[in-house]
Amino acid sequence: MRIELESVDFSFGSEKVLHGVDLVIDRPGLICIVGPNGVGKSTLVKCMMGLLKPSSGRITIDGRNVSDFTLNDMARIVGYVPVTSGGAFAMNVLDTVMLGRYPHRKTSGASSLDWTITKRAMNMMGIKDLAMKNTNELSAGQHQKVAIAKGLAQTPRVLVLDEPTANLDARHQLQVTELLRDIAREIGMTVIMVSHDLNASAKYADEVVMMARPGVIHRSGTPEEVFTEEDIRSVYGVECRVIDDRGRPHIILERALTDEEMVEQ
Amino acid sequence: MSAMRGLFRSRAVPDEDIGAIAQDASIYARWDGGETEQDAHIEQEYRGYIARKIAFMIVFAVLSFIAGGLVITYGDYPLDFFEVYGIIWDHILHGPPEDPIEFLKDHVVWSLRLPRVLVALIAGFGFAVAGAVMQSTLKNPMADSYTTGVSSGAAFGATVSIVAGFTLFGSGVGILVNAFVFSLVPTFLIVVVSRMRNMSSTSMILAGLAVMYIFNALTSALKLIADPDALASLYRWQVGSLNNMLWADVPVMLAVTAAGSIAIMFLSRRINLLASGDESAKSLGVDANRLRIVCLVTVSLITASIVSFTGTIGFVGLVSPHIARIFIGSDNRYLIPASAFFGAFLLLISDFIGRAAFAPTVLEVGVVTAFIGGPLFLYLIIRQRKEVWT
Repeated sequence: MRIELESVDFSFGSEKVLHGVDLVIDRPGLICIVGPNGVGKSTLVKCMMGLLKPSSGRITIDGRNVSDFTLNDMARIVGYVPVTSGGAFAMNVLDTVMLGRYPHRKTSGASSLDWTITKRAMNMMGIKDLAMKNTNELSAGQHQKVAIAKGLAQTPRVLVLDEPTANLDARHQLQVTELLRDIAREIGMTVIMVSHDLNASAKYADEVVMMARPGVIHRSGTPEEVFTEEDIRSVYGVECRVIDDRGRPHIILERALTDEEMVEQ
Repeated sequence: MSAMRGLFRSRAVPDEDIGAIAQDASIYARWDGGETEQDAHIEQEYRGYIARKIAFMIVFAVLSFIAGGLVITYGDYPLDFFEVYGIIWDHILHGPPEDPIEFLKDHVVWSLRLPRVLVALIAGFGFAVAGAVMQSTLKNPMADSYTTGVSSGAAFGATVSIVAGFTLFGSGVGILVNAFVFSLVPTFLIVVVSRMRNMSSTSMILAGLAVMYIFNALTSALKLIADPDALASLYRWQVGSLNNMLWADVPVMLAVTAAGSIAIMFLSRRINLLASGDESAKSLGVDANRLRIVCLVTVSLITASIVSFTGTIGFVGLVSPHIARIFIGSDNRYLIPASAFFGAFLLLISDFIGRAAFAPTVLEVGVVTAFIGGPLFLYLIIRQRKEVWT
């Protein structure tokens, strides 16, 4: 699946969020989008899947314009796991995960395939025990896992996740990130993940896209190509050391640059 | 209409044409975990969970049926509980009887008491559907056709057509059309307000209440030019009343409420997708905003069809979904019909309390429902501060 963005601009009112973004994602795997707060990471992924319309530029999936897809066709190939927010009126976990089957529905009821996939998706996220619980009884981490399971139940070709590990503890962060990488490799899914965790991205990503102010792609490529001391310094405004950890970069943050040093850059 | 078509049509493009992953049982097979005892347990538990929801609906459908019979026995002319069903059944099969005593009984049941019961059931049903749909699509626990001003808009529209004799079409239908047109004013406002950023659910309801006051003031102003006959009926209308209901009032209300509720049931699964946010719904293939507009317009039509006959009966639509939600949860496929059956029962009982409590003086049903719904509304506002519903 090839996703291609050509000089994409996006504005919220008068505020320009994306500036001429060019990006090609043409391989399955785990792709991490990193960058400081407010550089338009979420906006970029929402544009990619047609949730937001760019003010100019072209976005294509396998050569077809994103705006040409019907919502339902798009939903069958691209899944989205937003930053979790507590729902207003909670349903139970099983029903919530089953919502992911919605774009594939052929009948009004759930088919046996829908059941199989829903159960496997819950199994993948380790939430089978919670199946009959109400989602408002869950912890933030469990909530997050239900949302990811719903995205997996959608069996998309491209799965977009906005900070999926933000509410998880260390063990679950690793579990979820490893799982996403494994799914990407085995099923050939393109998993695009917005992340603030540089080291997790460095360790697991097949490709990293680093965004910088004011809404541009700073660099994209393998973790070794993207995570250099100079790049992190200029994009994040922090001094760091990058060491080699069994072939993968590992970032040790040293100190934040002072305001004067930031101006100099 | 094109919005409706878009909602009901699902275009089937083959998976391979859009590059989707083939939908077969081999997917995620590695994470199957085998058909464990736990799996069987989950399915069994899930079936029980669904059965409980359906049981709730059946219980209240049956209770409404029984309560209907009981309410018909109440009145100056004494009647037996089972006799009531017999009389109704005979009338349906054979028409009015010829024997004078039987004819009198038939007249009391069929012509005097049954219409009021039917209107109460239909109105309760319709208001509850409207309330459940408004709460779910706006993600606002305080929404119903009363608190959003939709009922007041409809009542104003109906009043205008009666007092000023201004209708777009003739007589009965004209009143309904007018009521519907004016109910769309608050509906439109809600759609606009709900799209604003930083708009809490409390402020949305405050906007609805403001609209309600404006329409009520306009309705009151119309009283100045109304003749004395119209004045009495206007009072009943503003309070909400089931007095003097006739068979002639039933068909339009029944047809619109039934058609609207069926349309809503087709959309109920889709409404569930709105719970996790508009973008999430869109990513699952549903245009959240369009769905919301279609749902709100449909329930406004239901509301208008009821309010044109009964006036603004408050809080039935607010209370019923909350009670139903406590028992069966928030899945709209079940919540909407369960609220509807509960609402039908609740309004019938409320009307009966209004008639029986201070007999022979009749307390209008709108006053009774306000006594029930007002405190719940207050409770929801107070709790709003602690819990985050947005």
